[in-house]
Amino acid sequence: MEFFQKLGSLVTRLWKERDYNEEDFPEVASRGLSELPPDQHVSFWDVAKWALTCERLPGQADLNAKFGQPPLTVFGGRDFRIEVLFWVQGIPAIHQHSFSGAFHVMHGSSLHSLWEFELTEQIAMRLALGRVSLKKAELLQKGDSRPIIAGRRLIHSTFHLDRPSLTVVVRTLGEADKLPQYSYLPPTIAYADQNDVPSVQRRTQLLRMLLISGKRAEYDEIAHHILGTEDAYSVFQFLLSTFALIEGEDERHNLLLAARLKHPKLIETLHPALLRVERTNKIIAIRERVSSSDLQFFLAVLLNITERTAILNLIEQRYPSRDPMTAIVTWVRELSDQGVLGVRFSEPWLLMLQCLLTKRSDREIQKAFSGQYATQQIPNLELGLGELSSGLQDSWLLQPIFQN
Amino acid sequence: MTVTNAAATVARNPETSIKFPALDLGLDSIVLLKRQWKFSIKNFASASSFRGWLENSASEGERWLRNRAQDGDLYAMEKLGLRLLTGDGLPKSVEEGLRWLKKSAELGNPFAMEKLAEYELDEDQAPDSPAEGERWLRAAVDHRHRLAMVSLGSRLITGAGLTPDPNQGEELLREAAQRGSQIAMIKLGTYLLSGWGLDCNHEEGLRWLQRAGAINADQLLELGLYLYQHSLTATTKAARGLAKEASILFQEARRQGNSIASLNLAYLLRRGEIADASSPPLDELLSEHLKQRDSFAFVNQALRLARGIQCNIDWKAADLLFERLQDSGNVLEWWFARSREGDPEGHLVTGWLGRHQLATDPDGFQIAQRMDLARTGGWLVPEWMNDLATGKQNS
Repeated sequence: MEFFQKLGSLVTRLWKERDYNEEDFPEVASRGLSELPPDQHVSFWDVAKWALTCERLPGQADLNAKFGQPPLTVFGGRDFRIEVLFWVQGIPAIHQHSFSGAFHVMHGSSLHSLWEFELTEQIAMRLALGRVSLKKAELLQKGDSRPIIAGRRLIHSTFHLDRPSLTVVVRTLGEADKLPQYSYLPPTIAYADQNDVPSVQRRTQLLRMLLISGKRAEYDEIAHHILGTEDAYSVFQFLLSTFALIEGEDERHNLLLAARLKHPKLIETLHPALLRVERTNKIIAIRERVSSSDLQFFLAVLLNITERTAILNLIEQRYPSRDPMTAIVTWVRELSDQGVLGVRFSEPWLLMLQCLLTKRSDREIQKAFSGQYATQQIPNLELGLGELSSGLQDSWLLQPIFQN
Repeated sequence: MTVTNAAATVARNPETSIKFPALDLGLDSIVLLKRQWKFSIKNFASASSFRGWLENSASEGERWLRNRAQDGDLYAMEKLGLRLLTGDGLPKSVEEGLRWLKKSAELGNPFAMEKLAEYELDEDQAPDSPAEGERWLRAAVDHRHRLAMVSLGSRLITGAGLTPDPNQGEELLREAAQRGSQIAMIKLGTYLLSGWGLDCNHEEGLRWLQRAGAINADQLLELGLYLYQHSLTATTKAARGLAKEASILFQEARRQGNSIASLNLAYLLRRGEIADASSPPLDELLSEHLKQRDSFAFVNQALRLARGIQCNIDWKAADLLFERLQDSGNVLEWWFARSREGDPEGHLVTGWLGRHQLATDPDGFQIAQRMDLARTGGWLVPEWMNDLATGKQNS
């Protein structure tokens, strides 16, 4: 495609000036994208139409579409390539890259979050324990570009809000010294993709097959042996892939207990991460069921952002004329009315949510309830309100809103 | 003190209620917000007949388990030990079974500790067994085995195998329930509901059962059925004892208006799986269903007449009930499964259905063979029951 040939030539020239130094590539790619911003030259339809009708596509990388839905290689240069990544579903994956360069939002918008990982212990070659924490969150609009730095210096998540979203990535082919490419599970885990270990990957798929096809007794028979004898990385992958498929809390506890004997440290830190993965899956499923872009945005924020201030800032950024706290109460009400949460938020719950968002004291909360409901002769009102307050603050859905 | 939802909805000032609506904090539903995991009564997987490593070849399975156990796989040691101890799939060898189970427990396997404790507390007659069992159970709790916590808590409340200490038992059950153990919630709920070992607190008992997933009468019934079916295939005495918890759930479901619960209670009562005193008389439990010509009620009534439970023994009247049976499919399904578990009542009903040509014996047994198996199991079946029923023969 002519535009990407032009962009590719520009990046080639700029990088040649830097002697093809990989360290300089993020700057080179960013400059290329700023001099020839793709969003101002080509549209989503231009790219899709060209790719589907041109006589010959450039050589395609990542045929299995592991990164991009799908990825489309539009230019192949010396030690770098340009890709247009189509996205139809947001994936809240926190990751680092084994390549460097820059990305540009060409169509749609994205929720971009930056994270850091404080290593406590590297417990296996592909598995580390530590603290995964949010550094910054921002909304990226069409036309925004950001550098990609290989390795742990850039840990980020780009959650695409619109369907489809398109990003243009100008990237090196891969830097061997930046492998393995880690993904992160807040609050504690860093791990490399299991694609590198075929036996673990295949066994994980087989264990999932047992559970999905209802062969629970067969799974139970084998699971303890695997969890009790395999290495930490395998145990991590097995649990990551199958934990959410087991519904009973007692059964889940037994699985963790079986693995704990050989891998106590891993299991101590893994449990909250597994619960978070489950929460993520649950919210993604809810997000699939709602059509309003406001609600989709709200759920995307709850999925990706782990603390109150960042959440409120993002809402303010997206809806400058709205009060973020009122917006949250409205969205929770709408989600509840649509019946997608599995629990109905009654008016007293919404009132409590409003009180908690505005950081009212216990006395003020009681006053707010007395102003709207007949409460004078209700025994233990204070305890009841306390239980409701902690229920909302600990809820799987809203918990991040109350985290500082 | 706990705030109840009911308390929050009642007793409001009549004057203010004109101005303000009543407040319902919906505290019962808060649990849906807090918990991330799904509490479904279906979490209790149906009993499986899967034989594990011994599924296709006992000798090959045994070889695999022995090799793994010898290589230090604690869970293979546990499985091998348990199978040898109970004779489940392997020739019974209590001594060797205990040896493997102990080895696994001593190496830190909390599941082996708990199983060893169950054996010592429920099966072993040696004088030091209760103390040894309690020691292993407490060791399993120390290793964070939550089901051991539930077992210890329940035993301390009900006094099963241990000196009762309801306070400590309640504390353990509450802790396990707070941490999300569904079985702990069910146990705590049923104990509070019925006052079994703990002070009766119907409201709190119901709340724990709701947390465990049994929100209404139908779900209480379903949960009771799951527990009961689990008890039927259980290998330990403690799990077999779940019938009592099931009966409490049936009683509550019945109280809430579920009529099938009466039938289930009648079944348990007739079989002596719950005490007469804890349940209404069989006549009361069965009468409505008999009027409605319910097949299960007919079979229960027939078996009751055959045994003379709260009535005189009358095999002829019992046989007449089978003759009037309208739907035999579900009856065969339930009682044939019992026959497979070695329950003589299962053989009797399967044979009885054959006698009235209501079903073909799935194993191809003759009526007399089934009746003999029932007799061996203690049923005083008359000889004439070996033959096809006359009415059917004539037709």
